[in-house]
Amino acid sequence: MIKRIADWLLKLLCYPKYHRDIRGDLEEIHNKRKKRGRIVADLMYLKEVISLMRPSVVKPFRFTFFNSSLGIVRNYIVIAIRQMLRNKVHAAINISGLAIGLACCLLISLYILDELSFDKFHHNADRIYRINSHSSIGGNERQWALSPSSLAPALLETLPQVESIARIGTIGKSSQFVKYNEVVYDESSGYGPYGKAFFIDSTFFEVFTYKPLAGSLEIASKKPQSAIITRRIAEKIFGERQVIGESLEFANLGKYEITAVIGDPPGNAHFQFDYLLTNEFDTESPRNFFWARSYVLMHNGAGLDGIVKKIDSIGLATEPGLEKNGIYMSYELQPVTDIHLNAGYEYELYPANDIRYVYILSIVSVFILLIATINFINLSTAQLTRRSREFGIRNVIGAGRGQIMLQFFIQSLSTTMIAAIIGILISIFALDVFNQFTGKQLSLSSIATWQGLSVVALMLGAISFVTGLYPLAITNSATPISMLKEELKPGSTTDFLRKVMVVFQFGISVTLMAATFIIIQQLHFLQNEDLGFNTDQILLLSVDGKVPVNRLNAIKHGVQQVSSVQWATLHSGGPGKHTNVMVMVPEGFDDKTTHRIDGIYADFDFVKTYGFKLIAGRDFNPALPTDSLNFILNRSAVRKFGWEVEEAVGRKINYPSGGPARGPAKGGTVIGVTEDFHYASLHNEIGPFMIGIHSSNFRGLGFSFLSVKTHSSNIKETLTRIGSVWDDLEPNRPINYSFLDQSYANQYRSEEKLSQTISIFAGLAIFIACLGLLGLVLFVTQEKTKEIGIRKVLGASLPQIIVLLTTGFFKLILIGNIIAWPVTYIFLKDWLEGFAYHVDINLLVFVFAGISTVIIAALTIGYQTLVAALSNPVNSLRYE
Amino acid sequence: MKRYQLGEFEEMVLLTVCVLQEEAYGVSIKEELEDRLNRNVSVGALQSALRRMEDKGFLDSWEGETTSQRGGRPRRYFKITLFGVKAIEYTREIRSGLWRDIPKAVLQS
Repeated sequence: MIKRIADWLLKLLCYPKYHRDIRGDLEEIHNKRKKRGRIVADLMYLKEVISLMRPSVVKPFRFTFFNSSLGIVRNYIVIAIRQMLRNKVHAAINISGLAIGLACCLLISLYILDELSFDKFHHNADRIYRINSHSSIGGNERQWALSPSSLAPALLETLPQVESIARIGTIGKSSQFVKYNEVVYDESSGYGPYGKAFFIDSTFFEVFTYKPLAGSLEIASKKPQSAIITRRIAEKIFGERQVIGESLEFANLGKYEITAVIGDPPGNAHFQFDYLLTNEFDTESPRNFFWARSYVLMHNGAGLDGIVKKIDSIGLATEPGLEKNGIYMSYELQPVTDIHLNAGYEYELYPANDIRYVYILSIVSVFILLIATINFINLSTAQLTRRSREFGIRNVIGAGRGQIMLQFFIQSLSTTMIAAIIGILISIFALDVFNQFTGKQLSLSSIATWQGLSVVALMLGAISFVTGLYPLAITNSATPISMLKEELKPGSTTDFLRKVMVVFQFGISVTLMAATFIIIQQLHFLQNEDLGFNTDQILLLSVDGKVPVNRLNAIKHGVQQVSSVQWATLHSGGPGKHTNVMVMVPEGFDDKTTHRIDGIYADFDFVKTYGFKLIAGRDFNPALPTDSLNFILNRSAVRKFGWEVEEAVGRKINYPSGGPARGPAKGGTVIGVTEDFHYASLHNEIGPFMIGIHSSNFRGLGFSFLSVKTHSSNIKETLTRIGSVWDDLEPNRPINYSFLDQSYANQYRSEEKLSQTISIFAGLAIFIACLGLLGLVLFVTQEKTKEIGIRKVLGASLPQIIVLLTTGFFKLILIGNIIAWPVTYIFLKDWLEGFAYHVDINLLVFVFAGISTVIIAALTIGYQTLVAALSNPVNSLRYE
Repeated sequence: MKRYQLGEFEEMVLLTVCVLQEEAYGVSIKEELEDRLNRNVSVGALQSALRRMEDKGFLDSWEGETTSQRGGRPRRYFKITLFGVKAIEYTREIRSGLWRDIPKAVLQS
């Protein structure tokens, strides 16, 4: 092997005249040395070859050939640059379009690479699976990122394929107040919806990989009541100080000793946290952990065949209680690396991304690059006719077809390279904005791997190849004579292809533009649709359900004393937030057929605060003690139970045995019916909904929010005053509030991002397409200077000439429009159907997009056309 | 005068070729030289020196028998030409002239 490399080197470098003798000598010496061991001899041989590389032996690198072809290449580059300088407008159009397209592609690739890299940093990422649940409760199908916390250990015990498990348990928001040295840190607003602190299994680090910075993860995770914190928190709370052995006090949970510090979880992980608390899963009765996010680490090479079925039966065996209560479960194993791009599971730790948006982004960015490339092709084909004499002469002098091809290639390569450099500069400058927009920390370095760079190189090569060789390909049949005589006019096919490409460009532009309009309309609809109640000026304070109700009531009354507060109400969940599932037996059904509908428990002021419209019956009345057992339904619930709105009032609703009620409370009466209102986002249809009065008799259902309706425009002052009431009554917890209209708006954040992204892309697409159009118009007006002159001499009017110059383009733009409309319609219809409530596609949108493109195109080409039409025919016709 | 120009290494090689007579080819020259000079001689340096001197006309070369030892390549044997003999004689004369003229005192000190 070594010897073969050495031989190859020798052959490559050695002056051929000496090669045979030197090789022979070396061979002979090598043979003699072989007695001392083959490898030694080989190494000596290699050393000999290397030390032999002296100027007198090394062949002069075929300088003759290299020199001449290098000279020609240099000449090609010079010519290419001269061409660019001579046709500055064309060059600028090509370069700027390509640069923008490349910058788009680069940034989007960074984004997509990051999206695809989620959770791949774990050493065993390919063997880690999360157990997801499908639940079916009374016909209500849901998918959860959770599974019963007893399931994973049961799998570990029964299935030989499972190597280890890890579970993550959420800590109630009320416990996410960390006290150290008398300072309380509010960690309840985390990276996802569950705050920054989590409970973990003792085997957590067997499954997941994190870098320990201090302490041992193995020991730390097995030690009871210990906390493992991230570097950023260690720095925030302790600064430079030693942290191991210090204690943090978590509200309601007690003291945890810090036993380890780990590196911050990378941004591309679905589990974002700052504190990991141990032991909770290993105690006899883990609190609040019926459900947990559970992960299994499979053994190397263990297949998943048939496992899922087994999991279902193991699940049934471990938690038989679920099915008894009418909750039918089935389970699936989801690869940990798939979690991030699979929206559609409830209770995710970190909001998942919709993979469709990733697809849309990549397709659109490729389209932008395509539009730019088409510009490039169109303009170079146009130029080709002007340079035919040059190629004719080159051909006559002796340039072969290969050399002319090389010249074309080098010419487009130089343009592409300049565009690439500018594109990279653009993306460097735009990266900050892009990062803000995507909420990521992307850096160009992530593409600077050899794979990334070779993809970039390939792409640039492909663009140069296509743009350089396409024009040549269409002149295939050209002879030197025809080229010299400048008869090299693009044939009808070329013309046709050019038209097709213009149609394509404008088709894409129109599609993007119309899509932007429709998406913005839908977003506007989502944000402004009548929800059935008023979200304005409602303030949501989060409260701790474990705090005794009378203390919460004290806060409520305190807040109500603030003069600008109209109403205040305590409730368990509510519009724009989570809701509860209510289990009940309405009148007229037997005890076995329980119904499960969404609902919440609140106090007497809930309906007033939110201003729901009652269509029958009355609101809760605090003066009537029996009202605390009664209900208000919405219209859909009444319909579901098969009642009429008027006759619903007075009907009985009972809790089934085993329901939430404890003690004698068995149910109550319907006292009112509200009009349907959107308690969830407009993605979902309004379902049956029920409002009940909260009672301390209910198991595990506490208040989560205090909603405050204000009637003052001075929100700031109201907030300060509510804040001071809060601090008086609840000094140990900082106030945590949000505005209802904002939390509603947040539900549509991904749609908002989409509309922004698409509108940016639409703008870029139109811009680049118009650049191309401008280039073509320049070309056409120059080509037709004489024609225009003659026509003018013969008496053509200004409008006639303008029409002559522009009709062709407008026809193409119109065709592009007509093709784009149905395509957009089909795609957007599909997208809109993802919403239970959506706008109808107004066909005027297409007309509007069409007219806009025509106007933009007219503005682009207008000046140039006008100049051409106004020019003095003498100038274009005079020869002398 | 210039036509007899010989480098130090070239002179050694030329003399070795004369010593080895019929047996003067790459490896044998290399071994003989290494033996006498007590240092490593690289194949490349030797071959390029040999060929250079052939170009200058000091040496004559022909291909001998092929051997499997050399991977089927023939040995290239070298023989000094008359012009080469003149060259080494000329160098020797210059040297001995110089030796002659060194005052005895210098060598004794």
